[in-house]
Amino acid sequence: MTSANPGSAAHLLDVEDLSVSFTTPRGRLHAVDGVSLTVDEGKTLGIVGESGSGKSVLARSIMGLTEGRGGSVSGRVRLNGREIQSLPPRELRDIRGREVAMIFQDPMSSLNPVLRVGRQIAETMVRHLGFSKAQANERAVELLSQVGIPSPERRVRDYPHQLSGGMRQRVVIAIALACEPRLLLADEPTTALDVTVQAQILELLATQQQQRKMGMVLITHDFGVVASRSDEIVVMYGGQVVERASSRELLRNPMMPYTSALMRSIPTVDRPIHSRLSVINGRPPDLVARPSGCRFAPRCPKAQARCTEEVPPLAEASGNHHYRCWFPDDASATAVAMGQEAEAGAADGG
Amino acid sequence: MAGSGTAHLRDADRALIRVEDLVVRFRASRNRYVQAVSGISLDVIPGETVGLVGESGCGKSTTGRAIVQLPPPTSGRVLYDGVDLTTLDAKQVRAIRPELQLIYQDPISSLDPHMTVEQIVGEPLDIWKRGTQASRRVLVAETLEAVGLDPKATLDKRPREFSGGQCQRICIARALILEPKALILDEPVSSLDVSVQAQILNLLEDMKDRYGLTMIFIAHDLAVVRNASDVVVVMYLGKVCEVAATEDLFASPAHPYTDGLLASIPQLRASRNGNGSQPRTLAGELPSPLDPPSGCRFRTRCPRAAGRCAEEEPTLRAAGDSGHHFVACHFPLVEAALAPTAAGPAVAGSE
Repeated sequence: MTSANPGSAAHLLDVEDLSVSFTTPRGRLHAVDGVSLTVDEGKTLGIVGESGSGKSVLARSIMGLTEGRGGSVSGRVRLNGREIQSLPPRELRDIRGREVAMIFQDPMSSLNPVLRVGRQIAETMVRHLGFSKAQANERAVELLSQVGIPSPERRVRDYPHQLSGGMRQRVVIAIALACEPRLLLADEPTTALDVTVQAQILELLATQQQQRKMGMVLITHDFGVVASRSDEIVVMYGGQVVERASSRELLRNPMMPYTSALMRSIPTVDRPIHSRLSVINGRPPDLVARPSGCRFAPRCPKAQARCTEEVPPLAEASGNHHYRCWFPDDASATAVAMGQEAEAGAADGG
Repeated sequence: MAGSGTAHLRDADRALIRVEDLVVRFRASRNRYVQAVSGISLDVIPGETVGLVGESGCGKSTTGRAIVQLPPPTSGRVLYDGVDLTTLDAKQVRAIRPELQLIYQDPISSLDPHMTVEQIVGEPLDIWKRGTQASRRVLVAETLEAVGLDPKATLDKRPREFSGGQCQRICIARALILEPKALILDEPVSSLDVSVQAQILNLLEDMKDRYGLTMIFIAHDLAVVRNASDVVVVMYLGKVCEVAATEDLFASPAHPYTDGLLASIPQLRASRNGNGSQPRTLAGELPSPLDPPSGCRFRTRCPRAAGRCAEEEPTLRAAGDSGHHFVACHFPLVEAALAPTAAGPAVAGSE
């Protein structure tokens, strides 16, 4: 059941300069633009972004699900050291579900409404692991109990509509875990759920991940969700990574103005009531006609001439903190960042 | 019928909206009925925002709709400005609607895609035959301006040309154009992105000041409700668990369910590598409203449940010593400072 590739690469998932664009009637839409990131075994990477930031397309591209649907992908995705784009479709299918599993937002639409849930769980094991039907069914019961579904022997015979939203998401998780994947991509796994159930599902994902030493990518629009559940956080805006750091560092010391603005705009329970929330004016960028320079510049309170002229690179500050900004919030970090980019001096005149 | 009670209601003549022992029953199958709302009471004082929170299926939206008689409740009273709406006929209820507007969760599907923004926002004026053609145009433009949309750039466009946040602004403009006294907002920001959510929440506060609105704010997100409300009503499976002034509720929740809900809110704090506090999760899920637990409806998930909870349904009684704080629990986390411990016959007046 283990992977054939005994840890030859440094990272479980290594995404390098990944870009994804689609053809639309208005022109080329650049959904993901030069994204690089890594995930290690047993670690969770949180990806935060608003709708249209490219976070879901990114996840789908890692699974190889965007190519051939009008999407064109460039860059590299390596899983366990193996480059997955160059694989023939057949091998890619073997990886999907077996080495990488994905959980989507809406459990109802990821499940087949006319098949019993037990069969849907067993199916992947028959397909990927060569289990007999009996073996797979037995294991399906085990999995349901592992994901916290009471009386699993009875529940395997249920259809999705007989289960609550939280239970359905547990079934989806059971399917995802069935083949002991090394990497789990969870795209807004709790957005459709109530808070108390959300807390249960996040807890479940965390324990399963720890037990299985899986790598996990947790994609969400909710800063609160990733804050307590990720080792590292990537903030996406307009298809780009605009900030990346350990959760602790990022939350304590956000450097990209978008990140801090996003954090400030969230109502929290420790703010006085009727307090005015800080607002990010304007709208996310149009990914067909992208603004020149920094994508966030049109909405950024700190934007200066340079921001609209030059695209800021992803610079590195101390503490492995990356940010994409010419005028980051934290002044102490600027010095470290400036040394890195030689091109920085090029167009100061504007 | 307990788990309800009216101890928390304030003087009837102070309230703009007063709901008493509201029950909404739906037919589930031939002989089975679901009580989505089982005897809840609440009141809203002019200028106040009352937040209604709870998980899906707790009956919060049904309550909001029952107040505007969409559909009329199975039993109970809904007093609006002293008039019991449940006793009015359809025509009389319609006459009240301009004053009492409802705003829905999904702004895009609440707008007719064939109509222009001018038609959408101006339609209520046409329906109620207010003003002249020219004065309507002016008012539409003014209202759009008030909700932060540029009339010149929006009047002739149709809903598909706008983002979710802008559509919600259009919905708000449409509700405000008749200058209502009260707004019932059913999850007004839950389909919006965080940065847009903040814009709409701020806008609602501004509109509240500008138009002197009284609001019922229905949402599942406690942080959002906290920000908007003066008083919060926590609901569970068709019943009220706790009612309190917003700050009290968050500072010292008395009902174990409220406590669990608050604990489930993801915090903007990194606790993972800090080995800090992961949220205490509330076990289990909402039981079926077709067959609610006996006694206290929350007992199947309650960490403090005891024998009494299955037998006897708690009524709302005072909790804490801060004034407006009431809880329906036999074993609350906060006891009233002076209340006799053996439940309040004096408090639970309307049984």
